[in-house]
Amino acid sequence: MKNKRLSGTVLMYVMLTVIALVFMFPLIWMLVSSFKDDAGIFSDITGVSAFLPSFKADVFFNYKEVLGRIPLIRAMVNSFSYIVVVIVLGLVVNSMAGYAFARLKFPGKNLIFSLLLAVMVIPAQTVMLPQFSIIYKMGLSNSYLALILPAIASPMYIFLFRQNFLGIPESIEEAAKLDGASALRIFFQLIMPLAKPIYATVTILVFIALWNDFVWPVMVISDTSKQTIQMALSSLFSISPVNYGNVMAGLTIVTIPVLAIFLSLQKYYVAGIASTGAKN
Amino acid sequence: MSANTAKKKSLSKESLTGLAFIAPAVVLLFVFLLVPFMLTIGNSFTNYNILKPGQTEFVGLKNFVKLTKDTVFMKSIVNTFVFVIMVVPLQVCLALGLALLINRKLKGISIYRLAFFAPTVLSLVVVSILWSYIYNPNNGLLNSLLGSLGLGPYKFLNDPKTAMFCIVVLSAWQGCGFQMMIFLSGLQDIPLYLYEAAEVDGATKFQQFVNITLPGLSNIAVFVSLNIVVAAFQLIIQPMMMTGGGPQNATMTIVYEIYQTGFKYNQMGYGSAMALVFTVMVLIITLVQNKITSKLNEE
Repeated sequence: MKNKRLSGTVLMYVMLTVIALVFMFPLIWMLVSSFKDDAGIFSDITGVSAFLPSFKADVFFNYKEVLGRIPLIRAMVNSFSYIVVVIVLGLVVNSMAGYAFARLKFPGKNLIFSLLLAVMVIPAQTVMLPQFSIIYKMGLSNSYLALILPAIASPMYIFLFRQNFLGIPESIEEAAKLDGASALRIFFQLIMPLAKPIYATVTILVFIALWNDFVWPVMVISDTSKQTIQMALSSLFSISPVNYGNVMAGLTIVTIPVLAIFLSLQKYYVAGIASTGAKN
Repeated sequence: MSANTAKKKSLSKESLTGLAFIAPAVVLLFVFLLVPFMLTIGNSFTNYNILKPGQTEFVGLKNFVKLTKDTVFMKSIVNTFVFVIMVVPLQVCLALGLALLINRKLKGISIYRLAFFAPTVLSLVVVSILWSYIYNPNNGLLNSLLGSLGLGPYKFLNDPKTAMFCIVVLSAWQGCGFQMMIFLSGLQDIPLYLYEAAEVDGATKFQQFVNITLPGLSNIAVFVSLNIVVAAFQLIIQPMMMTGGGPQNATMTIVYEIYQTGFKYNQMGYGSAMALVFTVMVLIITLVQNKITSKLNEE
């Protein structure tokens, strides 16, 4: 009986591992090929060796080559910088609005909130053309402001913050109110520290969404020196000579930061799936 | 009386604070969401071209009449629906299958969960480039592997008959980890005593699956499917990177056509008309979604 259960467990692991390997084959191939030259990739391609590493003397030659061919590091710095600005401003702007909708009384609150819920269903693609012409008319084309300004405020995150703040017992604020603390002070010193998890969740959601964003940056940024990471990557795909190893190294480089952020904030990301998944 | 004015005064102070708290968000959303939305509607009745702003004229319903005769746009609508119809069942089944697979207490199960979830954090640009090399008809990975089994070669993305299906496969692969997590939380919400009771009654594992697991997940399945429908409707990056909408417009989608018309060819007016049609479609889906979810919640 015990033996049977043990062999069942082993069988389960074998099955899981096989399925995981099949599921992951594109990523395994990407990673392994980034360490091979093209001759190696093509000679290995017909069999299992396509998924097995074979290291050259200079292991990272594809990585060095790809960084020499396109300004990937520069593009990563660009993406990273503008995303940090969006995250900081977005957290403040969206959470303050969320707090107002959760706690404060002001004229037109219900109307504005229902408007907010209504605009939440407008797909980004509906507004991308006029957004582009507004940016163009403001003279912001080809500037980071074109990437930053439209990305800060988000009905979905305001809604998320509001829901979260509603879950905080009001009694916590009552004492501070009696002491005469201003709403601003209550918000920054009391609510924000209490609601750290939702801030972490929104941070990681924004980071991954913007790091992976492509269509909007393509529309507003034209200088090579200002391009975002996904734009730089796509140029690698279109410039010749096409070199499999170089491309795979490029793809791997771009994937590392999102994977790192995801792994370190996994708990909050999964919480984000639960909450945005429930609404979006 | 005096108590009343005092109350009014404190109220108005709170009002000011409230308005100040929402002001930045409201201004930004007004400029970058509400105004653009109005402009999409307004521009769709004009011949607005961003390079010739002086020549903008009101053209009535001309753009919409033109749309009905625009074979590429009509094809892009058909393609988008075909994509949705193929990707939704595939992605839901993949997600459910993976969720069932990893919903067990085993040492190290979180590593497998991570493996299945990893593709969802990759960018669509990365995934599209990677799969282009997998699908490459000349020296791609898939043809080489199939060739060693004596199959193929296939043209994959270069064949109008198979191109969209190839995009379906990679899209489902990339996205299913997300829904897997939602299914997983659903599975863990099904009370264990139901299974224990079934076990006592002598139900087989398969009977337990059909009579307990599936009904327990039906609400989530509906919800997850509708989410994928809305997301799939917005398909653009994969064809943009992999096929340019070809071959023979076989992978041209609504959003890609909006982008091409409005941005590449500067025909903002005509592109806005397309965007408006797209919006109405998405709104109808969202309304149906809300109807179904609120009905499910009532039950």
